[in-house]
Amino acid sequence: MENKLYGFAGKILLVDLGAGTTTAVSSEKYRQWGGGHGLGSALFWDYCKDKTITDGRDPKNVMVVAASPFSGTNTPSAGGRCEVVGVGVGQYPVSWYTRSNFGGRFSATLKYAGWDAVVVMGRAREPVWLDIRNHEVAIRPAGKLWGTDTKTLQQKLWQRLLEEAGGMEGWYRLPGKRGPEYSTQKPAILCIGPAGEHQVAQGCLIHDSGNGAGQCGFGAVWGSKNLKAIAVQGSGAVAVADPAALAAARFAAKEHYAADFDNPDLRHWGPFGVPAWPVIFFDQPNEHRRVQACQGCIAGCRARFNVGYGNEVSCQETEWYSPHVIKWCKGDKQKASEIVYKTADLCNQLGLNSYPMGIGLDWLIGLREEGRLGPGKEIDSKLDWDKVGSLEFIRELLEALARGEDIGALVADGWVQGAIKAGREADWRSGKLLFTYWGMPEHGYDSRLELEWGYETLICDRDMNSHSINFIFWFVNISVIYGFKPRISAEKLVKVATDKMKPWVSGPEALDYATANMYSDAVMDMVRWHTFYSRFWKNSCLLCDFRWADLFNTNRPDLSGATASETAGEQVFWNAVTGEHLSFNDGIARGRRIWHLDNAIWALQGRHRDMMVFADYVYDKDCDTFEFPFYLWPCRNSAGEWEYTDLLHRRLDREKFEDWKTRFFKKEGLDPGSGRPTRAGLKEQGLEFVTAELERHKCLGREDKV
Amino acid sequence: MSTLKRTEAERLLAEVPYRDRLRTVRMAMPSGMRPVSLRSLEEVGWFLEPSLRTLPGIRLENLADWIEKNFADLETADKLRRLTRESPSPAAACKAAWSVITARVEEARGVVDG
Repeated sequence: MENKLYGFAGKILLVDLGAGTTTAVSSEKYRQWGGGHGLGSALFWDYCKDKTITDGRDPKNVMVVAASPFSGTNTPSAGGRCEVVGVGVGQYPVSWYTRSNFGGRFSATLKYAGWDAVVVMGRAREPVWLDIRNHEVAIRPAGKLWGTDTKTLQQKLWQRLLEEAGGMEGWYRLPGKRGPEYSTQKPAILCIGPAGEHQVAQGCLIHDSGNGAGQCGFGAVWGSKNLKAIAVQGSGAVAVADPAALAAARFAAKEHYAADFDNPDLRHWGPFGVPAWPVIFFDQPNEHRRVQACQGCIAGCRARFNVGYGNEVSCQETEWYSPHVIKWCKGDKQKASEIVYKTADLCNQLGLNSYPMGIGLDWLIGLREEGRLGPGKEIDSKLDWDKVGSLEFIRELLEALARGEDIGALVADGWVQGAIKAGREADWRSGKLLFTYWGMPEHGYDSRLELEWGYETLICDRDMNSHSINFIFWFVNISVIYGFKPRISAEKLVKVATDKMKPWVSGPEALDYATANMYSDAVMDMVRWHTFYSRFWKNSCLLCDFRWADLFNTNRPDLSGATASETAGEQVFWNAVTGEHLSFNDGIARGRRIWHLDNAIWALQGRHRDMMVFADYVYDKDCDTFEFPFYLWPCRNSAGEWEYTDLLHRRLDREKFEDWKTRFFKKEGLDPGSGRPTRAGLKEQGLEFVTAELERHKCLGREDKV
Repeated sequence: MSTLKRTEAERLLAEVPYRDRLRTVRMAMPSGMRPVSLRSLEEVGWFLEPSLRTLPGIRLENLADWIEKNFADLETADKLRRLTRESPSPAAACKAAWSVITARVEEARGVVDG
């Protein structure tokens, strides 16, 4: 083939904010890492000169915003995702080299402009923004753009770029190979709001209205670098190796796995075939809604309304404040809806990650009820806590959090750090402040029950937020809650799902979450599979977590999902776009290699297995904190038969979980005493190039223990 | 015609101290289960109101115990216990419980408002 970089734009943009320079390097060297996370990790390794840093606000930190070969193509639910990597802010006990991810059209536009990734290094002397128009790149002073919220910033930049184009109304001008080119497409902008500018741990990156790289404080990283925004305009296209194969795979996915638009199966099981449905968790403002989707998506999980608020907000940001709002509005859902959706808008405009807010607010309310929080109290706060639930209160609270004022000063470096600073460490240890791992809130899935969620999070760097296995919980439990017979039997479900994981797992026992099996090698292999799957197919190729992996699918007579299938599996799309001949399991192996590279960085940051622990309550208390009725999961009973079993009322055994970690480290060729990479293990992964740096920092693990 | 006395009705409309709150969860696919604290019968009603977007995560037996203990409302508690036994599904039980709680709150409000 003439172009060996099919799927790639071909160039990576290096931005040295300290020196005020931009440079282009070829993507060729990095092709082996896929895109997204793998590409980002490889670039971080090459360009971050001091990987021992543990605060993302350190000027030595390097941050990468990376697209993938799928970005800008019509690969289903993949074309619009974008990965962000670098050392984070606000994790506990250490802010690891970590990741976040967002949707929309930024990564696609970046590719159309000719770039696979942007590497941001150093710290600008004054606030700046990055102007990318095809091959032309400029670092420009932010001036009065600094201090604006994300909505105002984007509107101002769109307007400015239009004015700079001069001439035709509504047309943006871009440099082309043969002179100016014109587009009506608004520039794709990724930016920070006040939270990022004030470098608080909740600072995130926002793109368009409701796309955010929320977790891990990357907004604070940009704030520390004096980087307000990256605006991209592109008039190119993505070179696809085999367009006919890509189209055929997309049609096969639609024909065999996706929802029937005209006759949707509302009791469908499996993420790929779920009918399009807005992922919003509170009554929408009204019924006048248009579907909104990331570029290339088959679903459209967002909405635009005709009321001027709540546009494109989704998921957790539409529910975390709602219990308080309902109370404030005395059950008036219409009134409450306005506050809930305006709250989501406020978070996005301030550039605040809403994820810790719900659980954090519960903790603060408890402290206030105990008489510990308020004006002149143990934890001083001048906010009007009598108005919790109102728009007025939440505006004040969010502003305080974004600017690190009032209660925001306490948690500016993270919520667990704030609890410790306030002398309330016991609240975190006991689960009163429900932050389970790495200084992050429990996602909504208890690690004592949902094993892959907890285990995988601990062997990585942040709340893993990957739902492929977790969808089992939802489809099973929702069926039972509504009184339906489960659409797929427990025995069939585990067989179909684990068949996709072979040869990484040996059989269905990999999904047996029964207490007797919860520390087994079988479960460990499933966690390994899912970790590596996510590292490559989701985080690097940037398949959307809401749709992939499709392990089971009731649109199919054999109930087997699109994942790894011959007609519409992940590898089919990959090969069509890139021209490679990758098998599905080759992709998992690439994910494994990427994870090992990440682990090498964590080792340089000082990671030791003793840090890889849950908050104490996970080991000390049974999971029966809440009045939740049951948590059904496929398990084998004492007769060896599969059934959906309630997992509530159990805890993690510290010793057994430590043993699980030891076996995991050994299986991955790591030093079981520390969890650190070994020379032999690195060689096995083709990562010899990291050995010298690990050795220099005395971070190599011991071979004799493996 | 309600048989509730005014003092009973006032108690049913009252809010329990924070330490006696009922802790439940709201289930939102795929976001997860979010803790929700309930302190009054009126709030329980709002919590149980059927929604297309989320599900209430609650054990009705425990709700019945909580109501009996904190509001001394044996009648409502027994109705909830019966619902738990007789409803075809947890979702149906929650929907029926919503009706029971809402009616009880309305009844109490009617007595208090005269």
